[in-house]
Amino acid sequence: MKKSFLLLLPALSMVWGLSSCKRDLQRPSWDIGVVGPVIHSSLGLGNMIADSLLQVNPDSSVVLSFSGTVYELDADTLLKLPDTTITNSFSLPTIIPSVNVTPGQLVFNQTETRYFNGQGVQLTIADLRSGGCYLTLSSTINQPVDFTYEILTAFKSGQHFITTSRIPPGSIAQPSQVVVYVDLSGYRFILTDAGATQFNQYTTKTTIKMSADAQPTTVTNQDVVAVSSTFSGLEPSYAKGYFGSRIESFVNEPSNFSSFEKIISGVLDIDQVNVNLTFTNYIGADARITLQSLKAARGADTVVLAHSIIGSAININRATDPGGIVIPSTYSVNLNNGNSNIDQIIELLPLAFSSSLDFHINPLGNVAAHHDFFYAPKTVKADLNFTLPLNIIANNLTLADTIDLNLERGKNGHIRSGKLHIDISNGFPLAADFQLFFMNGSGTLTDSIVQPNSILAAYTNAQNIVTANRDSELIITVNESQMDRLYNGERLLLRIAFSTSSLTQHVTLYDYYRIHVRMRGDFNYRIGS
Amino acid sequence: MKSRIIYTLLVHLCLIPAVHAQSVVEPEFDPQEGTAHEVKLFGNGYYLSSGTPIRFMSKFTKGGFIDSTLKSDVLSDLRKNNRIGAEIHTGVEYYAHRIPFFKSSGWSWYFGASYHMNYNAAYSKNLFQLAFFGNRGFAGQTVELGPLNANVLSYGKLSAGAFNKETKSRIALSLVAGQQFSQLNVDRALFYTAGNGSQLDLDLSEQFRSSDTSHRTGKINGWGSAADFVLYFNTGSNKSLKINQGFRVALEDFGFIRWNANSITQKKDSAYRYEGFEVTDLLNGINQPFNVDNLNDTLGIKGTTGAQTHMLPLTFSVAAITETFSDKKVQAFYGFRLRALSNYTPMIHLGMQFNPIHDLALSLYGAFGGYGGFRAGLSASGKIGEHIRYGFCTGNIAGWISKNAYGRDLSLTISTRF
Repeated sequence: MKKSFLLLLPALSMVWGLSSCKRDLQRPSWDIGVVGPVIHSSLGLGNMIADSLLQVNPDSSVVLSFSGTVYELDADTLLKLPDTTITNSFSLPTIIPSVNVTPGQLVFNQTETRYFNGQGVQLTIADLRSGGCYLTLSSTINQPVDFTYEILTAFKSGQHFITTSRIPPGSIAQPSQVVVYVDLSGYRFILTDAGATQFNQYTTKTTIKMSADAQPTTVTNQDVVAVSSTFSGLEPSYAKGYFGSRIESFVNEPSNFSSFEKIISGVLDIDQVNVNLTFTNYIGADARITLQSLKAARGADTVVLAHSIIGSAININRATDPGGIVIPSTYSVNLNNGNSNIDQIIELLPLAFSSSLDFHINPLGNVAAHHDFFYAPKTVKADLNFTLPLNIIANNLTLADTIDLNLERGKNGHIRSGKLHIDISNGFPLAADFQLFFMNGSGTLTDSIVQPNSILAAYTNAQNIVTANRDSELIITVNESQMDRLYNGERLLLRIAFSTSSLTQHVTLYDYYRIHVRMRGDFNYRIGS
Repeated sequence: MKSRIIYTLLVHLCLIPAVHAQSVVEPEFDPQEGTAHEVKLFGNGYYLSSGTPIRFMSKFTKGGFIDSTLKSDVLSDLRKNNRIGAEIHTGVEYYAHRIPFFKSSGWSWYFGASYHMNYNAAYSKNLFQLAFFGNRGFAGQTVELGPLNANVLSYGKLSAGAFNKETKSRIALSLVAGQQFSQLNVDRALFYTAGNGSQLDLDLSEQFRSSDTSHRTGKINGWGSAADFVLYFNTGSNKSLKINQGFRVALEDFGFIRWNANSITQKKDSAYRYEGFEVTDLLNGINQPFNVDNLNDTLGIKGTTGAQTHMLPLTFSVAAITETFSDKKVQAFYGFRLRALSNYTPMIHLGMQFNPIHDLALSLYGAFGGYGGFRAGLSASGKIGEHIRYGFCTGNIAGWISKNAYGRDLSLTISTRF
């Protein structure tokens, strides 16, 4: 008994020891209070706005340049290859009652020329970036046959298009049927003949043979092999030919305008406005555009452009493509406070434009002798190019943006709650009200995590030029529940409302203005997991 | 993990006794004619501190949440400077009674193998408060976090030598395989937290040494040698001393380890100011400024590598010992122990052995020093037949009774001869 116990003791001890190892995998955890600096930074306009959008004048004042598209011609409107279905039936002439066929024997063979419906467009070349052909094959022959379909004028890597399918045995009462889809993306269709007298044409070759594993049989003149080919979804990446001479009219064509989408409310008064409305033609065909109206919209508020260009036809030359590189043709109209109401449009802070216009392609006819071209997806577009001296009055101009923090609880610890103090020394003549909101999954704002506070504008003189920085402190308070929500991926909405130091006189922003930011934390931190 | 399992197997399969930092009693065979072989297995592990109770260390080492109450209780118990230590020793000894040591009739060969792990630290109350409460309580103050001394050492020994068959005195030379060592000395760490948290200052004087960190687990990073001397003698009926008492005088781990050329030395005596990481492009995001590389760069800490030699933790002990299995009902024992460890204070012990029967010895003793204050220990030794001796000892009874005790330890030993 004693010996048994002694033998058992080491074993029990070993089990205890190994279980101790398992417990060792757990890590201790405890909470600490951490106070300390986090980061500091100094920001100028160059840190807030991309350098490419900023120009600095000799007096250090800053001009902001940006652009947005207000109209773009849809490629389908310019050039569309409609879905086309062609059906062929193959059978013995009536005078031949029947023939005996052997495996591998050619049964039918046909080459023919077909045409796309160009709808006034005469193409000589089309490179397809997407689209294909559905081949619906049926046979009454009681042995399997091999079907070969070739497009002799469609090439890829120097080879013309060819596909082969097997049609299983059928009967006159119950023909067999096979549907095959073939991808034609990447193929170049040569759509003209050697003499360049025909357009939109292509040549196919259909071959029907008895399969090699078929049994010898008799094909009668009642047997039919039918082929239906449907070209579908053909979209060219490049096309050449004559695009026709026609007028397309568009009414209230909508276009989103993203330049002001982060501004959600407030008033912006701009001292000087200089805008170019630029039409750009990437098509190798002449265009005549008559802009009937251009309307800016922000919600229900709209402003219609008033300028002499409205109702006037403008001619835009065709683009060129030396070496396959498109050089577009442009036409610009200057809009300013003196010749238009463009300032009202800008101060509306539009989120969308709608335009009505007449687009006349090749108004002079086929003057390029079938050398019009088109490189998808670029067609014709109209842009508003803004040049705004940052000499403004802003009154609660409110910007909003969502923030995805992507926080993760670290293996060694994580913040449970705390306060982030942001000390700001503002050198801009702009005050800002700052708020952070939680957004739930449906985008609804819930609670704010910033104590109501403002970033005060810098001190300015009578000319609204900054004379000294002004200090402010923002406090972001996050409780434990809110911190958990951040770790769980809940997003934040940042909302900042700017107001210039003067709401009656325009305030110029200079390149040397800076805002200094220091962040310090007072966190409850959990060491361990 | 792997080394832990190996260790567990070693300890628990071997069930070994220990005469080390805590244990003061070990069962010995009486000299006996006819013995050819004697094997002893021992294991000893303990944790002892001057201020951190078991209930705290249990959570700290085994995992679990250390709540504010527990932290506050510990903080209130701490002195300005505190010590903590933990050791594990396991091993096996073989006494070849019938193989004379170089033709000496009274001396025979002795062989041993053992493994040793030693952790100890001396730290300030302020450092504990910073680590477990954070620096919020120090806002607006400058506090001294030093001195801090922390040591980690693990090594194995293969020993060979001679023992006296009559007295069991022995001398052994050992080949030492160093596994890991780390040594941190912070002489000065003045830490300032600005009242509003905008600035942290650290005036630091520290030195850190470590063995090759690229292979830490289970690898040998250095070699050395050591000598152990253990002398047993009895005063006999010495009239001038007026005692008839056995004594054990030991000098153990007298040696060194030469750690390999990848060993690290870092030294810094600088003042730092931290006002937050500078972010040049705040609006485009902060690219993780809080990583270790940045922190090391900020502190300018760079190490050098090269071979290093360190002494083993030499132990010198003198103890009046008892006759383990005796007809005497009561015997006294006492002694002291010195160790060449920076955080180990001289330890003294005094106790009584009670033999209710000849084959069973029970001891109760008190000890003071080492890594802790006063504690009471208990040991028991016994026989199983003529061939097996066993013993267990705890140097801190309170550690098995109360989680508020400042340490816990256990020594196990079993030996056999035939």
